[in-house]
Amino acid sequence: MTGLRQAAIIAANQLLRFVLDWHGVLILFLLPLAFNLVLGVSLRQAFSPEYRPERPYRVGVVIPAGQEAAPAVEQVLAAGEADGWVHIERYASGEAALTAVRQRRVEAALVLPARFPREPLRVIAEPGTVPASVVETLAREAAVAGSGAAGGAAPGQPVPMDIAIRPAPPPVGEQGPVGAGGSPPPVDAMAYYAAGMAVMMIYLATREGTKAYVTDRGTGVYLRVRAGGVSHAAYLLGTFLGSMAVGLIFMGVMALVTRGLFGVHWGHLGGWMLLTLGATLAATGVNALLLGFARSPEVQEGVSIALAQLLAFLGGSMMPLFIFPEILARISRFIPNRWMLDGYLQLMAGAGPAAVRDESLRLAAVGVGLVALGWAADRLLARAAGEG
Amino acid sequence: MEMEARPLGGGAWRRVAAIAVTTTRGTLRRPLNLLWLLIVPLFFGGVVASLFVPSGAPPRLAVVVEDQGPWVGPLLDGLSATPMDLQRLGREEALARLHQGRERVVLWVPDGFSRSVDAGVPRLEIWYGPRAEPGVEAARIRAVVAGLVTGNPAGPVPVVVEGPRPAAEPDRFPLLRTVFGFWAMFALVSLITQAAALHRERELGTLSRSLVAGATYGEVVAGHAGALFLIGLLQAAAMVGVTALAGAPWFAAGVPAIALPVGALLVAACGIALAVAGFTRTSRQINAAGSLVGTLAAMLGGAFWPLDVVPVSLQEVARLSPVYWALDGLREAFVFGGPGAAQGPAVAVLVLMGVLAGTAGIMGLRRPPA
Repeated sequence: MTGLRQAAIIAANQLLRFVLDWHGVLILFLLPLAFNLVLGVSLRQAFSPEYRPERPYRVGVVIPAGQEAAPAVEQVLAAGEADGWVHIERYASGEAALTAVRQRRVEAALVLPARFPREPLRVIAEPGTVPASVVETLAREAAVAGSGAAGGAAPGQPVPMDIAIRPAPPPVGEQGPVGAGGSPPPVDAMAYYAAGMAVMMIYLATREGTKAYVTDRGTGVYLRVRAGGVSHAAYLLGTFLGSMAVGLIFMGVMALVTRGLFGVHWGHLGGWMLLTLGATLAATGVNALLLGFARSPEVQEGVSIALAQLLAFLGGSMMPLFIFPEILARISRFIPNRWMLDGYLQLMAGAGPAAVRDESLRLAAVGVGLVALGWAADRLLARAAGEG
Repeated sequence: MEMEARPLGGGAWRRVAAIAVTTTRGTLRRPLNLLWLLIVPLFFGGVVASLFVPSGAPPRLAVVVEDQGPWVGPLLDGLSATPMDLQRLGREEALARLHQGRERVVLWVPDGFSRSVDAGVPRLEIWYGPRAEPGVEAARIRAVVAGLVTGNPAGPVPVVVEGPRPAAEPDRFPLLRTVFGFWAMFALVSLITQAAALHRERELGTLSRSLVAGATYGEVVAGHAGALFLIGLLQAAAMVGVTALAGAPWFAAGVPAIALPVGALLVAACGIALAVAGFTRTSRQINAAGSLVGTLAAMLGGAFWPLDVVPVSLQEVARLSPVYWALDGLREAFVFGGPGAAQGPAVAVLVLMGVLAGTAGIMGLRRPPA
């Protein structure tokens, strides 16, 4: 009982030290909120399946008069223009269109050769950009329509078709998260990055406890407290409890501030608490493990920031998960940040606590395992240093 | 402490060079600095960035087929010929994979599809996963389905995509752009953070020792600015060298194509680092400012995503970021106007940013300590 009381006092002391360091607190909250704002505003449109550019991409088009495929190509381009994707500008020759691209008067050019379809439709654009992709898509549609017209199979008339494009229905036996309107509410960029940034910074919040422990060892406070009758186990338990307390407070404040500033809904409170407990435990475990490698505050700070960034990147906190290439998407499934992010996104999309039970349990299990490893490593190093 | 400005003579240059070299050497000797200056940037810039570059492989499309009619074969052949990498899945597996994020888009070919083609109005469904945009797949599917109705046999669609300057390996430019964007962010963060050396000198008392030994305050600041440039240059050389060995064609458009934006960004980054040092008082403040300024400049400047997808107002704000101009200089050389003169405006803006920020920083550093 005395040991537990001592641990609680040490945890409370670490929490107090964190709160009194206003500069550290400011950085811990200011950085993720600033990133949240910039990322949320910048990628607002990119998160919508109905994405259209605010300013349609300018496309220089060359269509020779009398070309058999011209009406079909014109029709596809007109549809793209009406849809808000592109703004068409006419050029007399391929050379003029190329010059316009090089001088950045247009984002892309589309050239219909006089000998089409024996010569391919040319798309000229900076490779790998959104305008290049949009114009390539239009060009493919135009090429098929134009080839038909040029081959005499269809006089450039649009083909009626019944193609529905919709979000995937939930798998059988599963009830997908349902919003107020009966369909899944969208998780926009602001909400995505509120969760992403909080998940990234939770490692730095929970580092506060272990940082205080390492600092205490360096300054001799640790030995002084031990001499007063506090066991190593009580000290370490207090350290980890302090880490968890800071992590929980950090997540709570982040949820409230992003709700107030950016209107982010974090979803079901019970689910949020369950997941946050698991996430905080996992982050505490990672920092506990670091104790075995970083025994000075300076090294601990550098390594923990690098590790937090790495985990955040692989877990989807920086780049949205949906643009991850296949290999990164596979790797991310083993990263605790991904479990945290998936859980928060599900809650934000309207799911209940049951939906995040697996993620929470997995995070808690990893957290407990890593804390045990960190504890053992610290014990080993303490014995090697001649401590009893 | 007297902070006087004197013109630099021969001895002064030697002192500046000595401060620059010893500071650089001291920085590189600390393993933790190597982690931040080389290992982390190389990991993100060299390994991770390359994963985000389109591979050139055909896009993948999962297909659920529930129709047994005669038009299914031509549909799938047509899609494969566009080209696309098709994978047939059962309905439940496809839905599960969509919700797990393992597929972006699934094409559902319902029972009765072939009859709908015969009737002249083909019926299909495209399902997409959370936050996936099925535009590319939809366009190809529409094109192939139209071909089924018009009788135009599906095959390789006669479209060729080319860069405005074919000589500069346009297909590899997205790789260069991505790696360069990551490097630019790390260069800014690292150099701003390294500017804390000035504050550390003051905290440790080595600054007053140097001043007593005859160096002027201006020489100490110039020496540190030189060290920042040297460190940035070494970091850039490592990034370019390692990724070039891995196949990145940095020199495909000539040496100036890469040297000008790198050099100009380093001038801007050194100036900004001095400015941050001038307006902060402790190493801890600089570390926080470095992460904030460097990462925000990279995000706003288009290092991580194309600016085409951000709101128009933010596209204008991007011009305030040195990363925007550095990427612009690179893009101009490889994609648009070619290396040299066409890079002039971007390089000039970066140098101007560096000079203005550096001047502000030196003025800030001249303030007496609180």
